[in-house]
Amino acid sequence: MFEKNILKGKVAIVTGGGTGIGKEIALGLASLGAKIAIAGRKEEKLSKGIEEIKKVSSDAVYIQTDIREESQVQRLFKKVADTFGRIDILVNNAGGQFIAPFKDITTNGFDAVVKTNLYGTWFCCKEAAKYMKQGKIINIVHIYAIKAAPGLAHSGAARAGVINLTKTLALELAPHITVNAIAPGITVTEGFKEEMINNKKMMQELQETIPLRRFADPKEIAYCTSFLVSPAADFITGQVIAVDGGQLLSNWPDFNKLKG
Amino acid sequence: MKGKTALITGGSRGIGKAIALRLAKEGCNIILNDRQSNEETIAEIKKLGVQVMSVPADVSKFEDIQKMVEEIKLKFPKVDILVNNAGITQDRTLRKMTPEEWNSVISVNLTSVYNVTHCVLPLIPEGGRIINMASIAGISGNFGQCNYSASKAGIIGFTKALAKEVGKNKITVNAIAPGLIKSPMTDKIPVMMLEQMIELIAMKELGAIEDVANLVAFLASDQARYISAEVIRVDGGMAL
Repeated sequence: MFEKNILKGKVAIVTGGGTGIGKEIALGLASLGAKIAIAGRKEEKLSKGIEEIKKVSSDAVYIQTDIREESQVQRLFKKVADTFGRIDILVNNAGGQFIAPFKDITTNGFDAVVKTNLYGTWFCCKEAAKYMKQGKIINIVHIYAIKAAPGLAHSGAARAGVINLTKTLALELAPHITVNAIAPGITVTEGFKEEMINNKKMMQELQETIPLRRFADPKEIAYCTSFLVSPAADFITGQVIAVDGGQLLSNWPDFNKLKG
Repeated sequence: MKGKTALITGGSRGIGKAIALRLAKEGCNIILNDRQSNEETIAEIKKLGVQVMSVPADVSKFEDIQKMVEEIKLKFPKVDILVNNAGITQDRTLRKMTPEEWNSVISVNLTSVYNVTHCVLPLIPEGGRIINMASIAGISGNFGQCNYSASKAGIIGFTKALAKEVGKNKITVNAIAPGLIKSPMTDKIPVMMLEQMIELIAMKELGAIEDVANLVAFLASDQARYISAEVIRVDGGMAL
């Protein structure tokens, strides 16, 4: 599907790019020729992730960043522009939440989740709009941001905010920058594998509710990202694409029950 | 996608032709359906080194499609990718719309999707793809297009229901909702009106038929195997 080197010369920032879906996205973009900067809070994760990415593209750096802090996001973009001379692609993938019933989420907890998921994306988009001439912004959300998210009230609200931001920025930053979101379904990252082993029966039941009868592979989110940032998707903007095996159509699990 | 077989309805011109050419470039053998065979399109696809079969038929007639599928079976044992693209417009405000105008658009645009998908489904293997051409008219509605908008909204419902039915066979079903795409269909719109419509597009330009074809190619590829029941707009932000 993808021509080799289709992203040659392009520079991409992937937040939360050291592990999980973010790492797969960074690997995917690197394999198509893009120069990569991954950002994240924990140096240990970044340095491990970058080793893998460097095997695909030698033009890859990590920049330790807490995206909840505007000044750190400004520093991130400046560093990337100084290093590679330009910024073409931003993938807002970093996120973080904990499963808890609404009644148990404190204001502090809500704040922390909104800071990472919504403010972090907001700060990055602000900087991207300054640096990008022609560009592509991809926001990774989750299908629970489209439907109800029992057990994830904080993250559902924050990510629904990101979806609206996606649509608004698609209009405000047109025609030079396209802005789209990808809403993965339940994705089998390293962390989730453990959950699957611990909760075998429930996981099987859950998969039965998904039309394609399985969870997502992180690579599948990466493929969709690669498509959207490629010239093949130049006329697609303001769109939220679910990569969820059709799960949006099915009855929803209560995430509280997923807590191992 | 080398060696796969794709059937495209309404494939001889416009968006359908661009889809046929794009999938042929990916190595797919192409089955072209349209009301009439189009030698020019067939020749263009042949140049890309794939097999081409032309099966003219009226997609709105169930018996014709049954016959068409029998004919396909003689040459191709399976259809990996089905693109329901055939469609027409007969624009008029509802007050003036005749039953004929309503019925012809519903039967060519929507009933055809039942006819073709019902008859072709037994030939679609595990991992197959069904891609239906909807329209942003089916999402946002369009002045003077009650018939067309209803038919396209119907396609969206069809897409979601079928995705539930065939998911267990690893077949994905998706819909594409093009906005204003430069094609024979938009060539019919008066220039003044078209200019006003372009103002409503965030990207301030018409889409190209290749923009739609690129998305079809992605959805048909193995890389999109976990995307199902989706309606993806190719509209330059128009529906926002």
